[in-house]
Amino acid sequence: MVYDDTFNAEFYKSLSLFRMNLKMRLAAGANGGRKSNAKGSSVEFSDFREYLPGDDIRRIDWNAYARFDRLFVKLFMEEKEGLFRIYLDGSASMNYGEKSKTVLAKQIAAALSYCILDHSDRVILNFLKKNKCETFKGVTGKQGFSKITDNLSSMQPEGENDLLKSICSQDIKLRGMSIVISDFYTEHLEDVIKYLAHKKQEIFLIQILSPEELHPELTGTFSLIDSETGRSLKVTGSSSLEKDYASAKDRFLRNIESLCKKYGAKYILANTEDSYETVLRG
Amino acid sequence: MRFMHLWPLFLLLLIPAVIIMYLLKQKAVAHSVPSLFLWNEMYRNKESDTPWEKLKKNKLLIIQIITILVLVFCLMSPYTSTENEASSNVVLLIDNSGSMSTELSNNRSRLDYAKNAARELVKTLDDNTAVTVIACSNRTTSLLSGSLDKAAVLSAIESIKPTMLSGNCEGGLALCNGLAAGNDSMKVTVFTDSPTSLGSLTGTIYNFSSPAENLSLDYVSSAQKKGKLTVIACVTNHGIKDVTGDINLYGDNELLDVSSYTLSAGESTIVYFDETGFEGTVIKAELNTEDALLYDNTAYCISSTKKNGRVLLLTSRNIYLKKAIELNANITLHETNDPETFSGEAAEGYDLCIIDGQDMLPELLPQECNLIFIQCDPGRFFELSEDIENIYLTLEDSPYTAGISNYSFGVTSVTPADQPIWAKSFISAGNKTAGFAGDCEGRKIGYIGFDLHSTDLPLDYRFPILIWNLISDLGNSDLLTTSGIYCGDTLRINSSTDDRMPTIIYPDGKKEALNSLPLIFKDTDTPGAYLLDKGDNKIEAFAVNFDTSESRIFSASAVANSAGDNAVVIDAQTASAKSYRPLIIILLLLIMAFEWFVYIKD
Repeated sequence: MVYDDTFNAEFYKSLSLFRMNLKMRLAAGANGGRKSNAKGSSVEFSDFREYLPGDDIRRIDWNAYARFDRLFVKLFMEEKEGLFRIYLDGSASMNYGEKSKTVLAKQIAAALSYCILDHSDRVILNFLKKNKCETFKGVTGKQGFSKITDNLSSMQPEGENDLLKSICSQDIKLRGMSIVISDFYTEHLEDVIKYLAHKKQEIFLIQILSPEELHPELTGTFSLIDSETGRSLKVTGSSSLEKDYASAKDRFLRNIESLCKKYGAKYILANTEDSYETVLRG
Repeated sequence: MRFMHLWPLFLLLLIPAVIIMYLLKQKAVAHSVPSLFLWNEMYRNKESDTPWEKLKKNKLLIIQIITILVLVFCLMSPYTSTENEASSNVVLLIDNSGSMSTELSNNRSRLDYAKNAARELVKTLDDNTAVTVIACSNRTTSLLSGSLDKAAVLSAIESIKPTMLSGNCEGGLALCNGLAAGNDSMKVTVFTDSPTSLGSLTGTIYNFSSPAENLSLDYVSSAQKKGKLTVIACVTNHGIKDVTGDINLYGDNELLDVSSYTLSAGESTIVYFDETGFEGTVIKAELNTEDALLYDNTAYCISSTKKNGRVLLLTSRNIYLKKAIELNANITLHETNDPETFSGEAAEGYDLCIIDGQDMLPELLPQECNLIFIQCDPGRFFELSEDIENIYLTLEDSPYTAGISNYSFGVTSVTPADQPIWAKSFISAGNKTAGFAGDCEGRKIGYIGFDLHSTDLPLDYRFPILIWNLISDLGNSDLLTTSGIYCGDTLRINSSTDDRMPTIIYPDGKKEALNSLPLIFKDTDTPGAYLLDKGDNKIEAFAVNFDTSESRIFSASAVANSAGDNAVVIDAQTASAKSYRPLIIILLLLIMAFEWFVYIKD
């Protein structure tokens, strides 16, 4: 395993104080610790209803019968297990920046996983690399957090990746929340969101960009080389170039925001200069 | 619009050099980006595939090329002439006096610039314009008259050489006045550095006077002091800076002494060289500092070690005359009241014999020395008239009455004379003369027609001055009338009583025999020490110096104020009525400021 300094002592120290609640509506799935819309057999009271033949007579509220002379049955909350899929972009572009975007991506993924496991939900890590989706085994319970960090540490971004192809390569069967962490340099982001929405996923997009991408400083003539494809583009730095770039970047970010709004997805833009706590607490 | 210079066009070679530098400079630096996604989105139009396309969009390069073009344009000194050159008759008057040799800029003299300006002017004239070219200093030379041939005009302008002569264009303008009679369309264009008035003439004055750092050695003079030779030299700083330097003193071309001086701007000083011990003839002083005008850095004088003149005064009693003669320290006076003792050859050896009265007239007149007769008739040389009683006489303008002329005094009796053609009158008695002097029969003869006891003239201060001037001239048997003149001046040489003609030896050793009377030497254009060989090893010397009045620097306003109402004065360094150079320089600065702004912005 490649040594990874992403999850150092400082990270674990801050993580122990980190709490976050990911809201998700559930109606099906394995039993768990998350409140469900369905009525079930948990210890938490939910409602009354009149007794119908066939109901479990152990649930009849005899005190209510004494008062109203009618039979009522107690209903309890059904607690289900939430299913969270975290998709981590593994293209070479995620290695960019003075502080690599992958580092922040992994820390965000770990922090979210920690919170998810804390709520007795299930986390499935997916590593999107070379147009494929590498899916790790689902993890539940806090004791499984080490597996999460191990899996994250083993992920090394490289090469080219098409976000749509790689996500679509996975057949999603269960309802849940899909968290996609990427820089979203793709022309098919809407197709990705559509696909996840079609699979009844609540969608949470976390876009990570470095300061060099947000505010590039280019003076002189450069041959820009794409870290994924190796293709180059010659440009001459000037104030007008910086203006044009800034306007293209703003258009790009606004487009993602509008897509998320359109499909009811959550969206966070993260700067690698910020810590994962700052990013997640918004 | 015309251009003063074309050489700056060579600077256009800078443009390809700058482009090459930009091509070299614009080598792309590899720069990794996570993805070209955003760049491709926005930079399709800004992508440049070839170096030339890069240059097309490079504002700094374009600005720098514009800067070079404007710089070249500026150096070419564009100008437009505002004067009307459509005259059918143009006179070009070019001052070639010594001051025009002052360096104006770039090791080129004012005369060089003047000739260049004249050439440019000729090129603009119509083919039907007749051009007259005159070079002037204190000597006016008409080089070409009314020529329609531009090539000949240009050649005439080119033939004008710098001189060391003094003067300005007055002689040339006098000539122009003659040419302008009956020719109203004639225009005079003067190229000079001195205040010049065109008077009634119409034309343009190109002023080439400009501030310059120049020192002049105004004169050098020597005198015997206790058997030792003392030399003084006068130095003037015509520049605008304080100057410290040295003067080298040479005697017969050997270094005698070196002395220092310090001069503020516009200041003059006298430098002394005491007890040099020099016993030669020619003294030369030289400034060892190079300045704008080199001609005025050297001055010559002739050592005043010659013997005293010997004067014989034949008089019964004339204390006024005796005292007046004795004031001249260069004269040794011998007085007698016995004329026969010095009759004939007995008076030989004297330079001048003064015969005071008819009773002092010897039987035989001295044969070689100069003579002054005071109211006596020698019977030859001149004719006397009848005596006139109680008359007022007047001192006339003459070399002997400089500064004391137009003074009248009474005499009880005067014996006037008809003025001989060889003499110059200095005392008039009505339409006759009562005092004259001149060269006659190879010697100088003077006459005073009244007894000095019968007038109050000796009581006036003018009397000793008159006698001094007479004795200085007639009491000297040298051929030279002066030991120093300025370049271009004419030297009058006394004729000798024998028939031998003297020879002039130039500073460079060239010899020229004078062969006609009166003896006049005019070829004094070159400064230096000249020798006059009288034969029998008798040699006299005289110095020719550069006239340092040419060293003066006149302001543009002085030239403009003296020009006259019909003249347009142009600061001729640009040879143009309106130069665009200042405007272009401002434009250049604005472009450079804009370039800086663009550079900072990018």
